[in-house]
Amino acid sequence: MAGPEWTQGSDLLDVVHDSVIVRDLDGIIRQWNAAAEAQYGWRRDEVIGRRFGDLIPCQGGAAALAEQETQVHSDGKWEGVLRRTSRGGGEIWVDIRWSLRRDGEGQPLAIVETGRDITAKRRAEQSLELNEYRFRNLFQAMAVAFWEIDFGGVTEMLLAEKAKGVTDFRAFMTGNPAFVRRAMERARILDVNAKTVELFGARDPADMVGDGVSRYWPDASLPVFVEAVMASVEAKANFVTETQLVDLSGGAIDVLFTVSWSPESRKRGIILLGIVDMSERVKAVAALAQSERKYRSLFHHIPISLWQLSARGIVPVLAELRAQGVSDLAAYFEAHPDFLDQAMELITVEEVNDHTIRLFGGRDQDEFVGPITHYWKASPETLRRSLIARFRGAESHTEETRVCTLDGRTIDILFSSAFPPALADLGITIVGVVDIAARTAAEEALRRVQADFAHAARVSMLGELTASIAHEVNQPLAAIATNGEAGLRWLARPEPDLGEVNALAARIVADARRAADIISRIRAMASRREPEQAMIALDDIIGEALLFLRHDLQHHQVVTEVRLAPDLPRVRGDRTQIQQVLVNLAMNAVQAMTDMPEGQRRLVVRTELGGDGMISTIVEDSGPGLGDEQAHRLFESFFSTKASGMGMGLPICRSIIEAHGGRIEGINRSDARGARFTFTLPAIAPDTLIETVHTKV
Amino acid sequence: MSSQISVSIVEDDESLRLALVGLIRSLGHNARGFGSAEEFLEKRDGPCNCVITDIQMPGLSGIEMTRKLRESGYQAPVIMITARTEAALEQQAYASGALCVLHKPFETGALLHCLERALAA
Repeated sequence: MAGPEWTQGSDLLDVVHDSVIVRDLDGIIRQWNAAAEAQYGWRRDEVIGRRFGDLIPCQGGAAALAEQETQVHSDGKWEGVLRRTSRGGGEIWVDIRWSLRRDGEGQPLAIVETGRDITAKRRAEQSLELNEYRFRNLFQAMAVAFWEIDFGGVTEMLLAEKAKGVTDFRAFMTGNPAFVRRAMERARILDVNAKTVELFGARDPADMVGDGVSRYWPDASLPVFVEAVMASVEAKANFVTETQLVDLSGGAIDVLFTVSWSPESRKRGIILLGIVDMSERVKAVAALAQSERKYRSLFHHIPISLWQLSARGIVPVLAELRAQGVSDLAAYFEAHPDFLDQAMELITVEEVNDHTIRLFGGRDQDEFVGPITHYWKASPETLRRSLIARFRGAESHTEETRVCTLDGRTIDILFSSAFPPALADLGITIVGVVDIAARTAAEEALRRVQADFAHAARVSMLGELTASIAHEVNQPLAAIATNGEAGLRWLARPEPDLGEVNALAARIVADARRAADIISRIRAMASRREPEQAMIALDDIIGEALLFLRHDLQHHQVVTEVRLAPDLPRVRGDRTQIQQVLVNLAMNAVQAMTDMPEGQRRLVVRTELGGDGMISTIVEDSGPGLGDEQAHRLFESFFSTKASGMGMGLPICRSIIEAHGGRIEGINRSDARGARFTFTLPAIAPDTLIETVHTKV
Repeated sequence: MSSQISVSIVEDDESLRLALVGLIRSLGHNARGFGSAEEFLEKRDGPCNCVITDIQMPGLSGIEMTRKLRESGYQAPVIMITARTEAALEQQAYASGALCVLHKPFETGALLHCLERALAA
């Protein structure tokens, strides 16, 4: 059939903005304008004569097209938005109108399509829809309380003030709390999400929608509202702060408060408030801050040197060794002498506290940061043992050792290193260092004082032993003098009796030795000496002490009875010190009995082996016994019932006995009148190796 | 030459007793030693021209022994020796019947002087 000239008017069509496509009833493209070229990417010469459906895939495919064409045939037109695919495969959205062109007789001739590319607009709409969708989802689902607020009324109020000449809104609002409250009333809630309902204690959004926000705002938070308004005025994109709001029951809620505007919503006067419940977070942060403060305070002020070390360098090395099958790190250290130094380089100081800085002669923390090598130059074996402990799975290692400071000193310390699994996993090791130099010095000073007192006690005791000492020494001296005199006489005779002289001379020598012996024993008693450890038979000590005392005992008319337990094990200790105790107790007994009638002064010394492995030595007198006041204060320093007594004897005795691992006590006898003093000492098993050790005690 | 003078030595310390016996013998006298006052009181027999006794001894002291001797009419002079220095003791010694009290360590000359006095009495 003769159709219209298809190309008629095509110049005009090329100027038109919309695409114009004419296809005949078979779907063959007859006209295709410049805009269609631009929209679909096909040139006119490429498409003319081709079937439209083949070239341009349409949404819905052939079926949809057929349906659309049916409609255009029946209605004479069709309108709609179609998604099509351009030549490059891209998606385009086209707003389409079809009209049916008829010939003179009214027979359909062709479908004329005009199309407007609305792809960009469509994408924007889709994006908006998506955002809206997302927003709606978020709005509802988030654990953030969202409020949509109509801010328009507030804006009006501000504009009114501006008209009155207000230029500094912030200052104005800050100075007008009543205005702010009115503004809050004008800020109406349009919508709230489920979280808001929950957080503010409502039952339903309707409880809140339509209200102003004023009732949720405590006076203290007014400045926050002011700032929110200012952010709006100054066209900021958003505003975030922490504040406190009030729920429907009047309870305070700590919140993170955000306000945001999108350009579109700003135009409409809509703002979005986001409120995050901070109560838990606030509590947790406050607790954490407080805990952090406490930790910081403790870390820095504790009078112990604390170090935080990083073991991140050494941990993988140790793990590698374990993987290689090393199980005995001590042996590994032996076999690899350089390993210890390498290990030290891998362990670094991260932080130290104030006490450390002072103790180690530093000026500030930074001087300490770095490998620990320097500090261990004096005692690397301590670190070796610490690593061995760590390798073994221990959680800490402690020992006394010496370390090098930053200012050239070497100090005695107690070193304690902790690497429990929780910290070890983080590669953190905590070290505590206690300066024991002061402790060591104090212990040394105490030892000296104790030794001084013991010495003084011995000397004062010896002073009280005048009679014994006099006799002790004078006997052999007198004998020597007498023998000497006799010897001279014998020799002066016309016929000297040389046999007699010989015997005499022998006696002189023997007496001289005895005198020397006594003098050295006394000197030993009086001397300031280091205590010695030896195995002692108590029987011997008792015998010697009583020998030493016999003249005093005789002088005071004291009858002595000794009852020794058979087969008594030995004790370990200092002979002189134990003797000192015994002599002291015996002398106290003698003193106690001074006022008793003659014949009623009885001293008993006996020994017993207890079931607990302790040997008891008991000194009993027949004196008046201990008064109540005495009994409690016996071992108190400077407590004495004697006019001239120093009162140092019993306290010294106690410290001697306790240093030997025993106990001493004084009570009244149960079997008769008088006092009973008992001291105990640990028995040493007969097969124990006998050593004489000079120890500083 | 031997003497007819006999001296009894009462002293518990063996070395001093032997020394004193030796000294008396070196003077040419007889001397006998006793280890305690009790021994002397029990066993004394034979002539005794002088007693030299220690004061402090276990058991009976020299002073008590001398008192007892005097109570039983014993006349021989007694020389006492002691290491103690209290004046009261010396008074007691003299009161019990001692002729001399010597302090240890004594000058042998002093002892001999006392002995001379004793034997002259």
